[in-house]
Amino acid sequence: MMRALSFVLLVALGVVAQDGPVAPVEPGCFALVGGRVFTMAGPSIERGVVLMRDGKIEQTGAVGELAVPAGYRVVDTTGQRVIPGFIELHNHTACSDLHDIVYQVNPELRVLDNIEMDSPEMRIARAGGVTTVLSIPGSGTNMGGFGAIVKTFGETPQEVLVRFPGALKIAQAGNPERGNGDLGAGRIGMNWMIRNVLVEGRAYHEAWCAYEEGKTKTQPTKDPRYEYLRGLYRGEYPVAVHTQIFQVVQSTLRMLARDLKLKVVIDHGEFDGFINARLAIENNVSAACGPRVFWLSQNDGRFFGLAASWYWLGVSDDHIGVNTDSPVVPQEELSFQAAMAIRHGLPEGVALKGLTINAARFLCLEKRLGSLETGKDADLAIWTGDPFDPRSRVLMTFVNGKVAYDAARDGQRF
Amino acid sequence: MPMRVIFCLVLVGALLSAQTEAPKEPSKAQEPATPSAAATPAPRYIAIKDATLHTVSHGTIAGGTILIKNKLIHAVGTDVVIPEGAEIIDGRGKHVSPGFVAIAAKGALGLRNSTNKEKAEHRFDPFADFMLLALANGVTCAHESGGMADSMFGGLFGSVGSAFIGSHTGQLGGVVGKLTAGTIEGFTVREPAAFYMNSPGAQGGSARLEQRDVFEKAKKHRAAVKAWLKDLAAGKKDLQEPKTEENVAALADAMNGEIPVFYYADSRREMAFALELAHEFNVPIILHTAQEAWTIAADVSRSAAGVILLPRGKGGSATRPYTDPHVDAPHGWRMESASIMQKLGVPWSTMTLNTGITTSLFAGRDLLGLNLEAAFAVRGGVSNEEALRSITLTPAEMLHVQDRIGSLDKGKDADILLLDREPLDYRTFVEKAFVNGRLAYDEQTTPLYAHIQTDRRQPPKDWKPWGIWGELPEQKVPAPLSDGSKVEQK
Amino acid sequence: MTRPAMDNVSDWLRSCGVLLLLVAASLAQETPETQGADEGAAKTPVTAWHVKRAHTISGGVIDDAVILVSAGRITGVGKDGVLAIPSHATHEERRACTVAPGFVHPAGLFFGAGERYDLTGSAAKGDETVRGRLDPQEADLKKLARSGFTTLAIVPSGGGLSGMVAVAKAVKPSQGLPDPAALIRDDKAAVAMAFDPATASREFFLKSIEKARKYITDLEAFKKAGKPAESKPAEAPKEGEAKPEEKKAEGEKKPEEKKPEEKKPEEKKPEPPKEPAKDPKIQPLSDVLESKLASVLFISGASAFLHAEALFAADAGFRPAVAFTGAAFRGGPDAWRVVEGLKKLGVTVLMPPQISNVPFLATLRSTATILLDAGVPVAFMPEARDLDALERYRFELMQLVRHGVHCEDALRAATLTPAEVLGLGHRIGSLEAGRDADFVLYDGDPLAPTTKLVAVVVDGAVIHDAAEEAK
Repeated sequence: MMRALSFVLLVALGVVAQDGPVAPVEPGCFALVGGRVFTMAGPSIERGVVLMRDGKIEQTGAVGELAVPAGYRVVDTTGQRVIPGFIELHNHTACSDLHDIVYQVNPELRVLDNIEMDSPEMRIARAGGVTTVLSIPGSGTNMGGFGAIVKTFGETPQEVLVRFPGALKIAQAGNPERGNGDLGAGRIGMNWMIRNVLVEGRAYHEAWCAYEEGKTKTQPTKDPRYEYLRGLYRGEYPVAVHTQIFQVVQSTLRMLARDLKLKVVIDHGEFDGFINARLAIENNVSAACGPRVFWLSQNDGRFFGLAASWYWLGVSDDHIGVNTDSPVVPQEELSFQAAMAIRHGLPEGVALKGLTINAARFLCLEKRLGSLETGKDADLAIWTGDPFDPRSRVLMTFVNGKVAYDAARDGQRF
Repeated sequence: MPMRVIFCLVLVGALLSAQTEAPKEPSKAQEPATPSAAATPAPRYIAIKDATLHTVSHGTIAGGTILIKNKLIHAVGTDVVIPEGAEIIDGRGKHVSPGFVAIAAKGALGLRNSTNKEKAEHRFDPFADFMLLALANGVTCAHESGGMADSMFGGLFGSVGSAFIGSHTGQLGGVVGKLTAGTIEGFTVREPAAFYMNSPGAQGGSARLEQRDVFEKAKKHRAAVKAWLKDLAAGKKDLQEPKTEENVAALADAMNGEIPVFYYADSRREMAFALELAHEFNVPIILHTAQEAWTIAADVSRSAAGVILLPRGKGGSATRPYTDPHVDAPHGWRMESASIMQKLGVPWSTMTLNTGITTSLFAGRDLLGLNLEAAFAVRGGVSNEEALRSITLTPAEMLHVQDRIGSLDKGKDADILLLDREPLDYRTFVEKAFVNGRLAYDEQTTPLYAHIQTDRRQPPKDWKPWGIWGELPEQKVPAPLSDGSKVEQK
Repeated sequence: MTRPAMDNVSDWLRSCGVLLLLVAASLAQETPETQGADEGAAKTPVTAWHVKRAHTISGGVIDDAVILVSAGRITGVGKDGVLAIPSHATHEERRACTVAPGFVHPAGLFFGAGERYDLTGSAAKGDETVRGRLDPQEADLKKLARSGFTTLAIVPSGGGLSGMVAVAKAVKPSQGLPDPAALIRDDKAAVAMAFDPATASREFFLKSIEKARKYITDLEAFKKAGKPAESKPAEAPKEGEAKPEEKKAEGEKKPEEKKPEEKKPEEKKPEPPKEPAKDPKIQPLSDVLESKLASVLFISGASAFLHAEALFAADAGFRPAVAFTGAAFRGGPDAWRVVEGLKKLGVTVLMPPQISNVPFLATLRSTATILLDAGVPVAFMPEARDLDALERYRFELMQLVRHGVHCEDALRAATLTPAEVLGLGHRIGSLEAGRDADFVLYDGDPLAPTTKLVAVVVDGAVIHDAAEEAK
């Protein structure tokens, strides 16, 4: 309540501060005028106009072609860049509690109940132009549970939550070994555990489908353990897999993508995992690389950029992304992770896609997020320059069409 | 006339032949023979032509040439005459910068831990991998404080970033060295480098008193030495040179401005105590890490000789302030720290999150990202030139080696980088690094980065990593954004 | 001529022929060696080893070779049928075998001599030997006998002047524990030194070299002074005149030098040079500077070599062989980094028979190939302490051949060059007349993986026979 009130007051102050004829300001209506607009849905607009209304993008166009309706609060972005809000694919800080290590695989656990509004980390993340994160359980178990896709700003849980389930979190190997018992200290056991529960889930899903389609008469038992897995098999959300090194990534691709036909996002892909590029391409798998950005090959002494390697070995530019694994790298430094990926060989265009429209697509949210198109969420940031240049900074961030960060008001947080 | 010439030639010839006909008897044990005047080799010239020169000391020169003669910079400008026989490097489209000075470093100098206080120039390994990596990322001179751990190789975590090794009573030590990869010549710039002091911090009152005591003693010692020198000059006899503990003597030297003092303090409270001492005893101290310096900027400006900052700040909300009216005291880190120091005229230099080098962890957060860290200072409001200065001339000044290092000026050491973009660009790579006028690193002859083409819009050559099987896909040009537009490079 | 004349000629010829035969017979006798003038006195036994192929090292590869061995030495090497074999020689028919000199280990720590090459510290121990420390066991001797190594150098450890290097030979294993004395042939074959730039050993070496050189010059001056006790300044000019044949220019200078001094009677008369005191701890270093004693300098790697260049620069006589102990974490023997410096000094390099693999920069280099191609002599020093490992030595050599070292170069680096490092190049390490008869018989090319060792001969006697062992 207090927050909403103070926000309204601020807006009112904003009204008072404006020059010119005082038209009645329509709440939630903004016009960003003059800067270079990257819609991610067409060529960038050199001197562009972005209209936002009721939390959505209303229209984008060029100055002189797209008129600013009366009553819109105008933000002059001349000399600046307007870029869709960045989407993080591997976050552990937006929701409280990292994970619970109960069993080796925990498909029934979920972060839904841990959603925070305005967590301290997210306050700073907005200053880095990050507007949406996939917040998932950690990698202490082979299957930590289901993560949620949340906005980095919101005044109510409904505002913050974009979708739950966001994605299933699987850690193929490289962490769960430490906590697992006798079965699962090695990959044979871990892979069995993962595969077993997914196969059982598939059987559960098929049984329920048969019933729902009228093919069978007896209602199967509802089992909360497998319930969320149904959405995986319906292709409604992906599985975000903590997987790296050649062998482990290979098992991810074979088991989850090829055999179980799930929508897979490789959510680390570190070290020499990229050697599996061919297999990833065949199975339409995406790679979101991070927090490590490079791999120094001890066989030939070269620094291989991870995202760059996936890319140059044939993975299409629609299937590349970058992540922070926040808090390993602070959430606000997502743009810096991309900068490092570019430095190590990833083309800039692919990096920008990776943080925006690609990430949205990996999360099956391309209809709602990732580009500045009419009807999509008004999530964007105003940058002083190239967002990947550490010398640039964010001046304002909008989430759901609201000012989530304003450097002039909030101080420079990043 | 000609006869005289002939006579001289004959004389010179005789001298030269006498030189070469010297008896082959084993020479007596002595210092390595210095070459006589007649045998001085011809000077070696290297010129980088038509590049953008970031001199740091006198602006940026477009289309300039820099000439190296032997170990030093010989000429800088647009009207440099290149002598015959000089090696010429085409610098068109490229940038030249002084080599970066890492004021807080670990591992870059290839030093092994040594318990017997042997000089750094005898302990360092000129073939150390970390030295080469640091050079490949632009560092040509580094300051390492005492007590390096013997972690030459990456393992999972790379060389361990130095929490500073020191105590609240202070110690003399450290070395400022050059990254002379492949040779042991010309390594040491200054050793010992500085006097180091830790904040008493959480150790409580007695530690603070002990620290203050060191300052008191140093003040007394300084006075005693002054009196003794006066007496000596007056010819008095039977004088005893004042002696004291090493740390007190070092602090007394620092009070004379002879050696730098690095004081490790992060929080406002720690810094306040340090500044109090600095002010009272008139000691030029440099605050190291100084995260909350911006909260007491005026005091810092008044009493400190400078700060070593982490422009990006440490990650996480615990150390970062956000506007919260319920918190009354400014605290934590602030992106504008460097800018605030700059405006107040407080010298500031840049350090990295991890002062060591990692080959297996996260990019841009260790010593290899020194220029990236400086770029964050620009994010916080300083200019490109000021940020470049913070990793070149300012650290040199803080280390008292500015007469030799830190800018492109005639007479200074030829520690020079040839870069493919401007020094603070996140995409820039070092093509060549010269240290003491000698090519210490060449991108093309080292496997590290050469395969990452400078123009990354084209498919890089030879990306094939070991272990990949089969043929690579057809050459791909990076796809434009979904409809044909491209993200432009600057 | 008439018939009777021809008869006379044939008679004459016949008697000449007999005479000639007698002369030839007497010439054929190896008179110098025979002890006792009796007609039936025993001639020195000679064994003629007939082999399919001999790798002589110094004289190339000889097919269908014969090696003559007598009194523990090789007295002749040559092609069978070409080289003259004494009639009383016994014949060893080994025509299916290939023979090569026994391997020479230039830097071992066997029999308890030490744990590892210790480079730290700076003590002067030039008078120390390793004999007292050794404790060879029966089992050790067996391993040694069948390893193919016929000569082992055993080195002391410790930074500075480590001590004297002992040279041992393989012996036939026998009952009871051997006395180390039976193994060691020379307690002081060479001097071992160790240098670590990060310790005070640098100062130690520079001072020691200076001291050692001073001893030499002082001794020279002392000798030059002739009968030192009687020489007075007044006699000096006479001395100079009396020995005009002396080439020393100083002798001629002395009269000029002395005269002014004579005119100043109040000045002290110059002391006659005293005989310089010998410091047994440093003495070997003086011998090294005068090239009278072989020496090895142990260092950790290329970086230490750069620091050691100051030692070499201090005195042109200081030219020990340089041993790159090359710890694995540093990428193995990295002498390749400083090949130019090594070439300039003309020193021999000792190194483990390994490839250099530099981490991070992922450069796999054959150090030996690079050094040999540049003309730097190489001697291999295999595993220092493990006698079992010596049996694998040939496989390590094969590995290096794979990486570009020529077969003959590899064999030389395992035989003659280490012998030269120990100052024993004139005695061991090659199949040449005058050398010790130390050689090994193989059933094929010594550097082929299927080849087996057949027999080992030391000082002319078989100390190991694989066929006997098998029984």
